[in-house]
Amino acid sequence: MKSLTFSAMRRVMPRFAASFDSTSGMVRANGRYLRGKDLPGAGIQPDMPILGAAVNALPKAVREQLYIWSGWMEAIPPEKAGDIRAEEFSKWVVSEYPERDYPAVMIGSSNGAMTHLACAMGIPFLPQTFLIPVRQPQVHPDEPWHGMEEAKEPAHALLQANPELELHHMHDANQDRLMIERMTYFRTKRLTLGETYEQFLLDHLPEGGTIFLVECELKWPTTQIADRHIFQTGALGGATPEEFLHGGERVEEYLKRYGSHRRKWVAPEPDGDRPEAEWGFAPELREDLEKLARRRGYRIRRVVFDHPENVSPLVADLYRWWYRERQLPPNRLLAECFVIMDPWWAMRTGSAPYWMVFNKEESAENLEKYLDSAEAYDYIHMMLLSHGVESVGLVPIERWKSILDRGRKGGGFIGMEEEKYPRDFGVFARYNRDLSKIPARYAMPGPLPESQLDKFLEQSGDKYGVQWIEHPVAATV
Amino acid sequence: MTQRTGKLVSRWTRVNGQRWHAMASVPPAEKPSPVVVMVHGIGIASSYFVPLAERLAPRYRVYAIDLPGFGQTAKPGRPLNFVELSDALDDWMKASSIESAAVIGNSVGCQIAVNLAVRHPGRVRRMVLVGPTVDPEGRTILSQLTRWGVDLPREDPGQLPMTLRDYWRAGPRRIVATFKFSLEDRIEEKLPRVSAPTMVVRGARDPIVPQQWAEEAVRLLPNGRLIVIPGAPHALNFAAPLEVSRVIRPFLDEQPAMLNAGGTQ
Amino acid sequence: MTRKLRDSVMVITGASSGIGRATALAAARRGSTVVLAARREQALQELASECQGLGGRALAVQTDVRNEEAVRNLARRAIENYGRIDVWVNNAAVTLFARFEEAPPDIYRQVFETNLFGQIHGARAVLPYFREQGSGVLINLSSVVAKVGQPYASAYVTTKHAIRGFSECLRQEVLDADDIHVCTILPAAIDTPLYQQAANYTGRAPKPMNPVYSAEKVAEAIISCAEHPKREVEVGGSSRAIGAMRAVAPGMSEKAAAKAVEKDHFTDTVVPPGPGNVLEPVPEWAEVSGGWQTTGEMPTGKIAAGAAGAAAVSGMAVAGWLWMRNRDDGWKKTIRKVQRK
Repeated sequence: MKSLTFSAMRRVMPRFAASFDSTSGMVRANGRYLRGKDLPGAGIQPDMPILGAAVNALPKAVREQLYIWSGWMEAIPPEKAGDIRAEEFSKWVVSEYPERDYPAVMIGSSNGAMTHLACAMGIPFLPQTFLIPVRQPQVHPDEPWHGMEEAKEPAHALLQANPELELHHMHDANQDRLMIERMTYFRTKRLTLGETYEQFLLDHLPEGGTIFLVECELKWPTTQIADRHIFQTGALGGATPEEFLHGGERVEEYLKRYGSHRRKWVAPEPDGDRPEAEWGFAPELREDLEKLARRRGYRIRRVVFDHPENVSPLVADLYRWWYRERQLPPNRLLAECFVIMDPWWAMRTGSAPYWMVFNKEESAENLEKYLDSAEAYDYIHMMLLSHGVESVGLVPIERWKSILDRGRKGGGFIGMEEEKYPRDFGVFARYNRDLSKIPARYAMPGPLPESQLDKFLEQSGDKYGVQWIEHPVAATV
Repeated sequence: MTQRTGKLVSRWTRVNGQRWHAMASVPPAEKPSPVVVMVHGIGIASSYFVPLAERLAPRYRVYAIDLPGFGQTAKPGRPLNFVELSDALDDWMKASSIESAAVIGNSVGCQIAVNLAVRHPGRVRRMVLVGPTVDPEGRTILSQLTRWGVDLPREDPGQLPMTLRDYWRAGPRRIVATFKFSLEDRIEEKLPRVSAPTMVVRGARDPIVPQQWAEEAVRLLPNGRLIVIPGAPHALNFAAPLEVSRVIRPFLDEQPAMLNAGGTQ
Repeated sequence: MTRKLRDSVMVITGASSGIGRATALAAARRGSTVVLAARREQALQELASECQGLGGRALAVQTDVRNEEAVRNLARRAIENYGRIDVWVNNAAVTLFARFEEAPPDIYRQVFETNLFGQIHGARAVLPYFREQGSGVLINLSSVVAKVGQPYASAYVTTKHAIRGFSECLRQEVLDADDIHVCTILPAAIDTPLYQQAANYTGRAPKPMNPVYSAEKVAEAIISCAEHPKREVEVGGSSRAIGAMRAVAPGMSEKAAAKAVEKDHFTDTVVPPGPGNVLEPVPEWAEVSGGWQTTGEMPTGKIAAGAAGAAAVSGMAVAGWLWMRNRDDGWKKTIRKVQRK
């Protein structure tokens, strides 16, 4: 326990939490930005282009194995699940942020675009969700039911030890095919703030400060296994919930391609729509937060949207608007994917960041839609995640290229070897260095004040499908 | 904005058979200008008004007079009291074809100007009282002499030779008599009857005219205002002519049409 | 010979707060006649009463120094009321915190209108009176940043450089008049509400950089110049150290200045962008102090020692570098060739 506190002080993640996860990547990006630093290697890998080149030089099968085993190394043995303390994750989160007073704090759903907003505003983000990868080599990726059964015991131990958590056990044989080869995903959501977050707010958010509560209302059909234990087949990605649960042409073809013994997945029948494991917001946290807000006179502003990518055009446009306010050219777009993101470099190069959940069909469509409606960009740069799988709904590289072609003067992929996509695992090691090759350099600004955000929101109306709701916090006398 | 200075010459006028002397500005040729008449204090005469008169000369028709018995004006058989002096001044203006004028007094000259304004209101269009005497709070011989003694070293030393010459010309008997008249003349009773707009100018370091009296005088005037010149003594017209000219010019110019009634000769 | 303060008329622009207000009060305490100019009428009237209470004569003349006619009127009002102007303190100033590229051009220009043209208007209005009187002291408030640059404040710094140059030119032009003087005051960081009233496009609230000196200290220097004019007066010991460092190691001192500004010129408080009092006055902060912690006196000996030490060290470094460069130019070229590959 003591050593973990020490680790937290040195910004070392607890052993049980996944460093490759969206949440940890975003916290790291946010923390480094607030400390005035960029984010090499998504904060996971050392910033070594040579390493990237070396990885990509390996044969396809070896590369896949490397990816599988790198994930496995991060996973914990199931018998250790009861030793996990969620507070240790919180301690790491707050250790990422500089010790100072903040005018506002962001809490809730992990979201790349909101991470950019937090950076712009110079405020920290406290995530509700984090990922615990658990070793599960005995389960075949195409056997979700089996996976669910095998995880019951460690799940129980985890929840017993952490009454503030809700477990969303997630089994995505589509996009996470390589990863779940040897492990499974325990995504947990905080139902209460917990001691660490609460103390952080008391110490660093002065009375009257604002809490932006990020509430992604993305739902998924899931099955309740036990109290606070939910099982989710599939995840937001190329395939639909229907395809995950009952199969279909695309699924059949995909499974055939990967030589699976299955032609559709056999999963537990869902008994309701619940917050999606990775992005969705569990509203219990809001009720807990109210208590503190009432006591400290905090303002709660709910940021409500039903799809993670709804915020992306808003934040891209906000950056553009702000560049314009700052008399800088708003002519550059940086499309990012999952944790392949870098708020510091986006700001430094004067790029409007557009964040995509994944390298999937829907994300490409949303980006295209955004570009259709937005004033044309002179330069469009793009960084794509490689997850190693020719998964259902994967967007061919040609389509991404056609999006890049919309840049009137130029642009291109950042840190990618197109021909290796989607097995371009070297992107992690390369993208930061490549970002720095964008020649434009603008001074890092001071924080964007909340009033400026409001000014932008007022001017832009509610075209983004994002609601900003003032949450009444009744004051106690 | 920089002031030009004009030239003054001696001018003699016969009034009721007596010769009056005044220092008069060489009038600007082209148009009739507003007339300004300057009335001196005890013992001295027009000479110490010259620095101020020179500064006003380019713009106004300026007369710095010697009252009967002082300077180079003929001496009446006995010292005249202030009513008589103001009537004599009225006569001089008539003789000089000055229907009305802006009258500037210094010290006791202010009392004569006020008498003129009360007895012959038509003659006085505007009035500037520079260091008006006598402060009712100090209306004793001792008090006045003490104050005068305090003031003397504060005055411009350049004034001393002309003061001595003018005192010599007036003679001690006339000076003492005039001093007594000044104590008898109750200016505070006359100020409320002055209809002409009046500016009181006080030197901030003038012990003879304390701030309180200057303020009181302005209060008594139906149309009065006060200006205080920092660092200046009692005879501001000699010690601080630039400052006095700067503060009174806007006042004199306020209604130039009213002043422009000097008539022609 | 200048007049005693008690007998003097002093016109002060930017009198509603900060150094201007401190100067007005200090002068009034010594019996001066003060003519107070600023845009904020209410604040001026209150200050005038306060000055009168301290024994001075005071006249409030609402003035926007950007407007030349208004400044001429200010001088005229002083003359009409008191007959003379002995001291004219060109003090009014505003500031803008923003990177040059991000600064709204209209705000940027207005900083020049107030700080530089305000002083030019003042000089143009008062010098003819000085000439006519044959005497007068023009006191121009520049700054220690007239000697060094600083990021985020280019508008302010440029005007302060310009004021220093302008003052030096005027000083040479009035050499023919024995009793007309032009003084330049170069204050260091001063505890005034300048920072709270600043236009700001940095996102962070600015603060004066340490060490901070009180506005009263500057007022004393101004009063002292009114009585015994000096060419240039620095207020706050740090300016001398900065000057010394700059003379010895200009490159290093520029980098150090930039770093110091990043570190010490802003607080963590996030503030929305806004023009502050640059376009229009703000009602708040009609006070001398901005509530900043003054570090008070920095022992001059310590500073001198520090500056001498810094000078010695950098001097040796520069000498060493020059020696190396002269001695071994060929060696450096070789290195460069290798690096190019």
